[in-house]
Amino acid sequence: MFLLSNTALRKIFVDGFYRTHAGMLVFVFVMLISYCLFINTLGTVMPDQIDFWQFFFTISLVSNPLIMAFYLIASALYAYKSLKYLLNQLILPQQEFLYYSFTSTSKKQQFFYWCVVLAHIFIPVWCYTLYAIMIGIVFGYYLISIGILFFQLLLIIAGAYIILKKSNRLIESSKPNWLIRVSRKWNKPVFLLYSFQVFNQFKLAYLLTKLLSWILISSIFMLFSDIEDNARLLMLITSCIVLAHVVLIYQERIFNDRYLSFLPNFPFSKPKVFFSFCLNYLILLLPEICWMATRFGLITSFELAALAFSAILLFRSLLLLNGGQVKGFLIGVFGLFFLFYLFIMFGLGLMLIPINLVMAWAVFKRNYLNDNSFGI
Amino acid sequence: MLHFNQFEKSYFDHLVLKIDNIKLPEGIFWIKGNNGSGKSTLLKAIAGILSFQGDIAIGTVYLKNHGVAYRKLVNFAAAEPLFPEFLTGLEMVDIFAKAKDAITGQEESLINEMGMKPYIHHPLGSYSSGMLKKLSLVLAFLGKPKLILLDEPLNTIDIESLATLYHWINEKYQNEKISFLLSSHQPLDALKLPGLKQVYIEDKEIKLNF
Repeated sequence: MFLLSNTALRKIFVDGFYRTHAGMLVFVFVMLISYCLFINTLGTVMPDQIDFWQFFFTISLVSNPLIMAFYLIASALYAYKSLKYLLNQLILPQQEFLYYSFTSTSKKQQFFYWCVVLAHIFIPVWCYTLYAIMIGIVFGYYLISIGILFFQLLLIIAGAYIILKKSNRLIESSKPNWLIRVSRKWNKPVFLLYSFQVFNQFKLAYLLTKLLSWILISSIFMLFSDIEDNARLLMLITSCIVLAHVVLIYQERIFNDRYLSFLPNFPFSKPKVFFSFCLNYLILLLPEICWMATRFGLITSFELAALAFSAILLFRSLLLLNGGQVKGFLIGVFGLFFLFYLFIMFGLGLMLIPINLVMAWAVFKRNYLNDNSFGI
Repeated sequence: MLHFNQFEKSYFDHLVLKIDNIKLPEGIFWIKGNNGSGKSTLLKAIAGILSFQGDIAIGTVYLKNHGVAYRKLVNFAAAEPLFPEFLTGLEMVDIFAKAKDAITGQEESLINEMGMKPYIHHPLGSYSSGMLKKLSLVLAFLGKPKLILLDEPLNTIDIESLATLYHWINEKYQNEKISFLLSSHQPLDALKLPGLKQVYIEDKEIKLNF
């Protein structure tokens, strides 16, 4: 029973966490951290200077209390995200069996196993922490190094305790959230249901997406401030904005498969299904669209919006190709992003709009309904 | 009424179901078969949800050539329906009524007869599996279909609702000549569904038993 629970917990919560958050993890741990530490810069920066800055960032983590504080906040956010995922999973009907099987073991054992689950979820954080600690110990920054490790252990213990309490409590019916209460009298077209789902269930993912979008916009403005051709810079920013939204695009596919599985039975033409779902992104991208419209004028912002929507349509169609597998989707997205970058840098950015649309439509037309993820 | 033309359904190159050339007349059909024999797959393919080789037609309206017209003629209720939790039952009914061109007021009588009025304004997140099943049955009867597909319609619904369902099926078949394909593990009451015909799925083929 004990071992069984362990395997079940690992498969449900650890594997599930990595599957669900693959996109986020790729962004945070591969793009941001690897880029900060290992990317080779162009220009006149000497190799020894690169080594110095890479080393400087890591040593700052264990020597500078301010940088350490940022890292601890990031760890706490990661712990919050993990905890939220675990608690959301616990209330799903398919996990209900845990309430009458796993909870029959002693609380000590349960606590230990929740610690193990959280420790597994923390592996990406551990990797970076251990790297920083090794450098810290070599250079004699013992206190902060041990402090970081201690803080993260504390996060895990606190998280495990919260889950232990929640999983041993009787399930109570939850109150409908504010969106459900406020939108009761609104007309909800079937094509916009995903927007409601985002503001109902994926609020944190939406906020993180907006944060990432803002970081990417600011970074590009800083990195490419010397580019004279403004149009190229704006198109690059637009493709980054779309890239920041891949998690939401992927979640849309999961939502449609799970909750709108009846949709293929509706008498809607393929063009209607193809274009109408894009309305969701008009709502989700509203902050960026408003920013573009107020800053760059209507014509430029219209061109950029067209580029963004053509890329979104292509990414959505991409999900039909591999039955919604995250890995293949991310490879496809990053491959396409690289192509976008080349097109934009060679001044062919506007050509991407018709190319994306034609490719997206061709893939959609051929594969809509061919993604048989339904059971027999 | 329902015409299969060289129908083949496979999952990852594994053949699940093959129907060469069969015409089903109008009627009420009970699809029987073991677990995993392909009953739900067959219903979802007829509903236009799953892809397949070959074609299916209702009269002269072919699914692959006249997708929109075909889908107006075929309604489907899933075995274990899942809908967005933030919607109310009535909002779900409105979505289906609009898509399926239901006549004004049709939904009201269906909701009343199924005894759903007290909770139809509640969010679906608060519905039990039986309530969701009843909602999916109401949705399947909206519009002007020629064929209604009900996957495990007896699952989780109470005796009163079952009586209403039998009544609806008989009434729709006798008055509007709407045909039904019902897949069910539980025995259907032939006394309450006069003229019930049986269709077996065995060895990846369908066998008519009438």
